[in-house]
Amino acid sequence: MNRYKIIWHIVRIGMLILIILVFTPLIIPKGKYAPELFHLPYTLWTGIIVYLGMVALTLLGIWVHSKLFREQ
Amino acid sequence: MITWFWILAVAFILLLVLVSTKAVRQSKSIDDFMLAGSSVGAVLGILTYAAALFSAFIFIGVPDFFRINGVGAWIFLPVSDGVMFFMIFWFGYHLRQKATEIGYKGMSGMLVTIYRTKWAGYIVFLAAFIFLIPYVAIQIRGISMFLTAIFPDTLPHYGWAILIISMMLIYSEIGGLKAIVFSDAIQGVLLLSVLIIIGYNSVHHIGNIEALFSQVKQVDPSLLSTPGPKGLFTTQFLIASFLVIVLLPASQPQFSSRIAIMKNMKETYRMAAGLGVVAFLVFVATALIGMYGSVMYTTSSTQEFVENALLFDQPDMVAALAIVGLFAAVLSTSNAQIFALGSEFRSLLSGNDKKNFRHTKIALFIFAMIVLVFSVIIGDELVLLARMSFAGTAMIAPVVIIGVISKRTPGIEIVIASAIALFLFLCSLVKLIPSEIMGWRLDLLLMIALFIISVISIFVRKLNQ
Repeated sequence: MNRYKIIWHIVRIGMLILIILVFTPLIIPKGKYAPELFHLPYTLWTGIIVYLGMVALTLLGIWVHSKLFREQ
Repeated sequence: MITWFWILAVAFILLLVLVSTKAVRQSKSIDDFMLAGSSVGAVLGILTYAAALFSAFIFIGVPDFFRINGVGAWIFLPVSDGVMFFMIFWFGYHLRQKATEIGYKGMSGMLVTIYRTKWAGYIVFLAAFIFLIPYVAIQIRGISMFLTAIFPDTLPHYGWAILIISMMLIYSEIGGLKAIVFSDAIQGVLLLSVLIIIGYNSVHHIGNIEALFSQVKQVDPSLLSTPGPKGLFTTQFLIASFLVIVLLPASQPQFSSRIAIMKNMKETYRMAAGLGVVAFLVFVATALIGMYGSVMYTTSSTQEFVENALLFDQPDMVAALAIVGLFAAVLSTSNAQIFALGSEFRSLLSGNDKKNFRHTKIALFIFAMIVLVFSVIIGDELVLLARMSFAGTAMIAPVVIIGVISKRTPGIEIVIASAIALFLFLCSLVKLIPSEIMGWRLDLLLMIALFIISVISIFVRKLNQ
């Protein structure tokens, strides 16, 4: 398998892991707002990190997708 | 504020006239008119997609959603959108490949060719019609009620609704999709700048981020976690909402058409990446405005909160910019959705292109009139109605996604399953059947069932071939 295909798989698996994590108590613990980061409640700052992670994976995905698949 | 409003309103209308004129000059064929010449670049693409996606819903609905339900709204919308941007380029690639292969006038028409049955197109068009009309209507109603409150002696709320729809009809019937894309760009810039300014001012008004969240904690600590004060953000609600939002590029024609009209795949990639960045700024601003509302307007109605947070607590020029921004937002979003319905309608017609084009223009007018009637009689729950619209159209997403990515002719069973799911979802909305079965949300169950049926259909057909 070439390098780009491996990265494409990593991007998709990474996105799937982030999606699963979002709906677990790791990101949405019921009724908890601590620990806070820069005074932001827990679900908000972890949610922001997840969002930024998703955008980073999208950027990586775009780069590798453009190498793997050419528009006809 | 009034002086600033008129200055900015006149500038906005002049810009609209300018872009409509430019669009008319650039439109040389029916496809130029309906599909903006399929030559939209990344920057215009970002702004037109953002304008279709964000709209009055993000201006009024989302800050209010944060205010009432707390920070769980971040998981409800921004996180779901984070994955949707990935979906834009992945689905966009397949859509553009398919469009090159068999041609594209609208999703419904394309699906008729792919499935070799008109029913595939009819069901997609029907879902769009049923769920986009109330969604557009609620936005027009929200803004017209808001304008009536700001200018009580000018027009009644249905007067503002008529004004919005007339303006929308005039420039979309004259300039076509290109004019809409240009006006979306104006609205996108307005929306982004106004929201960032108001978001910043909201924090500044309280002091700083620390003071803002410490005051929210004093008002109601349940705002700082899920499921929120009203218990809305349950895991099931968040998963079901996530699915319907992620499927938007496939399930709603105003989004799929914006992907299809991009100049090339390179510009589509850039659009998806740019949207991720732009959306982050928008969401942070709406979260801050919402939290500010939780502190300052804890028990106020949506109307009171919006009037105060977006207007009366802002400097005159910002308040005026917010009103024009809201007006522009509702104008471009309603345009995007009604025009998308028109394109879907045209794609289902066969025969003489000129005759179809004339029929499409008449259809656009009829859709706009239906929206106008709805905007006068519909309820006020902006975000939940938007979510209902997303969920309703998500029922036909399997027909679209499998049709677009499949290399073989997909099975009619996918169309039938989606039609049944759509029917059951509609029945639950009018309370003919329960919206929860044994503690499970019906929309989530239907989407899981559709996924399983689609996988089985693909697998069985692969075996048979």
